[in-house]
Amino acid sequence: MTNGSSQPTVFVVDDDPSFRRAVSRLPRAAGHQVRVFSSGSAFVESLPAKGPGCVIADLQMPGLSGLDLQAALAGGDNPLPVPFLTGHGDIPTSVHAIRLGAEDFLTKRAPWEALLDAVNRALARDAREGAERTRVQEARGRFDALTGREREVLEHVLRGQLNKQIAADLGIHERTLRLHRTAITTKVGVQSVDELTQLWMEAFPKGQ
Amino acid sequence: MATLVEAPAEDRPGVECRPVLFGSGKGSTEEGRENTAVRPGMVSRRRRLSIQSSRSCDDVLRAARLTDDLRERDQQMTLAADAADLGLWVWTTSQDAAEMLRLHADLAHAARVSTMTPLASSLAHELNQPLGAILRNAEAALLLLQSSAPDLEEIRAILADICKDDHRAGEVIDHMRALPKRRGLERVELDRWAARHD
Repeated sequence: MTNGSSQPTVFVVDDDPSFRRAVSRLPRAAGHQVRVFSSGSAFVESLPAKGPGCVIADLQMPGLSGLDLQAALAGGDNPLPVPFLTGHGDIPTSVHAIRLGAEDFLTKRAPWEALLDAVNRALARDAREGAERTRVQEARGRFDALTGREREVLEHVLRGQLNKQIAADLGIHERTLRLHRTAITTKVGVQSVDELTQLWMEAFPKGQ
Repeated sequence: MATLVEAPAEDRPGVECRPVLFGSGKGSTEEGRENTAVRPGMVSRRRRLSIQSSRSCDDVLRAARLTDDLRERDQQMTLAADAADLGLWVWTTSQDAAEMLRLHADLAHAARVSTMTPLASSLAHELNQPLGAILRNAEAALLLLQSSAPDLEEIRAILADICKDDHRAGEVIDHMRALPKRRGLERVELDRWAARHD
């Protein structure tokens, strides 16, 4: 379940103190590491930028609502999955939440197995997506080392242009261009243009 | 069969009790007075005001006179409702009394239902919190007990919380019970300094 070194954390966000304490006990009894927060804003403020986990959030909270909390998470660096708990799950709210990427939608008195299942599913999804995020970040990091000129050359190479065309476009000698290309493959750590293209697609899946 | 009269002097000072007869002549005022008086109630003040602005007392009395046969239940309901809204009393002969009482019970029920709907939704929320907490706590305790060396201190804390949440749910219900009673709520002297920080 765990991805990388750190143990995942189950965050419980609910404005009702006794319900919050009660809900936090269940995943803890099941062996998870748990942290509780009394409001969406308190949670968002202290959320670490990295680290696996998931968030069990009350949908109806004063201040930052469950859906606001989810939107804030989705826009941040660590978009943890959110299984929601709700007093009464009406259809429009649940559709909205699921569209925004809610992991699950449970009533407050759902069977405990369902709650723990939801937590496990959310943690599994986070581990998967976290690994994917790490891969993308790592791929991007490798391109970060390039200089401005090398980046320009790279763009032309990715378009499939021949050396002669690129050199002409950039107004440089073909031999200089070849030096740039060698620098690119060395810095990025690839052997071929195919590999380079693949890595680029991984780092920037949809254009930029 | 039934007679509508304006509310007596103590309810509407300065207005003379004006009996109006409807139905087939049997229920004269005198006869009516000897029979059962049903005091309409449970109609909200807001509804009474809104009807009063659109229909006058005379309208209702005229309707009562024009209606020959009020055995039609719908008509009876409407008339009884309008009469109640205008603060009229409904006098009935004894054979009608039971029916009128039933109509008023229906009216009162309708009024309660319309009051209950938002109340029920808030009640559901207030009860869901402690009930949900009790359930989750009990489940966590059961899970903890599956361990070979259960954390008894934690289980004790869980049981204490379950008791607390049960009381909390009970308080919600007590408050609900007190609501419909006129003098059901306790009056307590408030320390205004303490109240400010509550």
